[in-house]
Amino acid sequence: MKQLVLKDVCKKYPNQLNYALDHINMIVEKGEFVAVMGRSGSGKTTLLNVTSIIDKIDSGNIYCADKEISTFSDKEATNFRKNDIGFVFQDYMLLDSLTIRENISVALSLKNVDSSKIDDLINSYAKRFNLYEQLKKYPYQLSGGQRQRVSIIRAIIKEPEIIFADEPTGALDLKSSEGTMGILSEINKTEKVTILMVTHDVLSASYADRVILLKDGKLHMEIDKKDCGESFYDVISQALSDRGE
Amino acid sequence: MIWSITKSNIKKNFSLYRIYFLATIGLLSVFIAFLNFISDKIIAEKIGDSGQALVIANGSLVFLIVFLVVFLIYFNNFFVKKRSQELGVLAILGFSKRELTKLLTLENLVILVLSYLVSLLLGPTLYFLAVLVITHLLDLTMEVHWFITVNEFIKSLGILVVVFLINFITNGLIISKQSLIEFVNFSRKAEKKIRIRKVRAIIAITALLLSYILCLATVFSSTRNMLLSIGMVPISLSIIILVILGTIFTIRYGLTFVIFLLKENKKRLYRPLSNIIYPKFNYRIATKNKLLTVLGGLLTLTVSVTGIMVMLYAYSLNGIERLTPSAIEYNVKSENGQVNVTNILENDQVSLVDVDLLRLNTNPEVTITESGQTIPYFDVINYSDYKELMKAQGRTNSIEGSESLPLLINYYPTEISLGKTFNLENAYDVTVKQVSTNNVFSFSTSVTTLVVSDKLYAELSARFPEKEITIRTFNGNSIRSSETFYNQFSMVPDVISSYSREYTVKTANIATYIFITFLSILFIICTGSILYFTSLIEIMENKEEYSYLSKLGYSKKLINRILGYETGILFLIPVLIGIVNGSMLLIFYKYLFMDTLVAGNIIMLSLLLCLFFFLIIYGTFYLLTLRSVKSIINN
Repeated sequence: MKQLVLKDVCKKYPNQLNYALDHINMIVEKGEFVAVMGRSGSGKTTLLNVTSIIDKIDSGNIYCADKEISTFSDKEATNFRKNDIGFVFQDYMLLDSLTIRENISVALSLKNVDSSKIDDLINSYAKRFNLYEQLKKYPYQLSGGQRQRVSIIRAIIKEPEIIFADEPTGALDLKSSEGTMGILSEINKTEKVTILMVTHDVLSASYADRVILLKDGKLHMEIDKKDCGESFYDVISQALSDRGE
Repeated sequence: MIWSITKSNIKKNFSLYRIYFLATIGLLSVFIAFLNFISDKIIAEKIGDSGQALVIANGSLVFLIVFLVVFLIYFNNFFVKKRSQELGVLAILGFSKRELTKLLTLENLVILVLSYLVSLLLGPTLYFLAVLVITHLLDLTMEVHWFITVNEFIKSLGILVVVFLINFITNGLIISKQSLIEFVNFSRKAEKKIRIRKVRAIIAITALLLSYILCLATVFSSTRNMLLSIGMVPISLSIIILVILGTIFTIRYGLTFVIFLLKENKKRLYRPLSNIIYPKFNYRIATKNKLLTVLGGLLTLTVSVTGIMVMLYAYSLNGIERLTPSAIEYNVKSENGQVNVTNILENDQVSLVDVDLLRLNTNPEVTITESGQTIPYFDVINYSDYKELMKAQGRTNSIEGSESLPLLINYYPTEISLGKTFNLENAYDVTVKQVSTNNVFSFSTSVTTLVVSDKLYAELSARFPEKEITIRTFNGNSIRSSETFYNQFSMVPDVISSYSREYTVKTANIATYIFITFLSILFIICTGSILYFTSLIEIMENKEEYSYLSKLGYSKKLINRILGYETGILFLIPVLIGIVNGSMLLIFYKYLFMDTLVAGNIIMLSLLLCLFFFLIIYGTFYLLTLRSVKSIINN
């Protein structure tokens, strides 16, 4: 079943000569974990922004589970972000003045989840991701890796159809990066949630099922894990190296 | 090179500079307007007559200077904090700490000099407009003109130099003490742990409530007398200490405790709005409690000072009604036919009542005050004349029938004479059956009026005809404040006129009214602009959080509501504290320090209008702030 479909998607920023996204056609299956790679300015983040309808496209169509989301009104777009998708960002997007528990509960209270169930849900996820002891703390009291785990819990706890991850390991050290990618991979497999991730990091990309390489706003190459098996990491590295990245 | 970077920085960071620039202009203009005020020769002459006003003027000047310096330094610190990352980048690029200090100093200099020049124009304009509004509102006659003095140039420049030097030293210290990495991270919020202090919170809230109870206790005569038996000074001091400490610690501990209790109710907390607002409220209290306390205190002062002025104004005006119950009143004998009564009575609005009055000696003398002051006579009038005059004055007759006669009307509220028997001219005994302060004559005419039955009066009048005088009165609503009407009687010796009394009261107090009103306007502008700029600063500091909320699925409408609450909290705490504290202190002042006989209801009504006015003013400030805040976030 197709989760995300992009048909001839174009996007050009004002005062720019070239397209940020140039006739992109792409399909992401339900439950698939897709990584998007490319050098700076290749259109990775634009692709993530338009598929999560944070940004609008100039032409083409974007479908999510057969619904055309690229024509959504502001209200529909807000509801889509509230109910159907989760975000994991490089800078964690945590609110400094809220405790970890309150940061996570935002996603649930926004979705009007029964308030009596919210604490139990948060507790179970926090225990699962080893954050239970941190729930009363504030974001500044946590390490980068812990903050990213909070951000993942906040994204997954509302049971979204898709998680959009923008450089989730960009601000983390190797150990924390592996921890974060391990969690994303685990929830992809256990919760069957679709993940679309933008990354520079080959190690992070190697956790995905498929890697899409962008170049100058165009879809340049796709690498499928099934085709590569154990050498997936090496194939990605080689592809990037061939492109001079 | 530093200069060209300064210029490009100011251009590049204009949105940030704009706030700093406007804040500096606002505060400097208020200061210059105040200097303008105390340099005004008309005001200076009037204030010079009143030692109290002079003390308030000098005290306010010192207060304003401290206020101005503290907040300009506060805004500068915010400014440096916001730009520290950028300065860190310059440091990485090879700028020495000395060069960075020089850069900040130059930027600061440009802002302060530009603000100074604008304020020199804006300050006197602000003063001019304020006086124009005040004289118009209070219906006062005073020459208003735009001016600026050399003294103002020098004094405001002096303050600016002080601020510049303090900012120079502060910025230099910040830069010299920070390491490069600290510099880059300096703009991150100084995190504050929010601790719940249950016992302190309960003590603080109890202290504040106790002070309110003590203030309200003065409303009822029984509890008021109980408080007075303890003593005015200890009670006043206790109330002031309880209000100050209660306010400081309620903001510090009480509010976080209340929010903690609210957050315990998960059903309430886990809603899209409260999930954000409650924690942010707590955080704001923790990080801004000192600012909120200062603003709360300032607003309490503003509300109290303005309220006292409004009460005194209402008291003076309504005192006129008590002191001169008729529009015109004089002894017919002193008139000598100078007044054309027929002409005057052609106006349907005007009614004439002549009242015969017998001044009879009494034994014992009449006690007119609680302290025992006496007068050796009664001014006796008959009940029919009393009723007719009351009706002409548009007042309700407080006694009906002869069972309440004789009625003694006293100037001061004392019931010492009630039930007492007096002997008039060694001939007649009268026993006072009722005492009132509801006088029908001005107190120049009579201080102890005795209203007796028509029958007794007829007997007394027949017996002592040589002691009888006739008091002529004119009444009517439209004539009380009419100068034209008064002019028809101005030649009568010893004429008592409500118009001339009102004129004297207004003229005598013009400087005090203008002074206090102006001071209130300054305080309102100061507190309002600080609330405005602090809100903008807070929102700018947390701007990215709102984009997070949008990405999480908060609609624009919900985000605007959060902004409304967030800005509202900063306004609501000091405004609410200022208005509640101020009202309580005013109630305390009114019932303990003012003559309760003078139109109590009208004074309270004036007070309510004054509080309502404050709510409107700060409501407007709030709406303006919210508009700016929304434009920052939505852009």
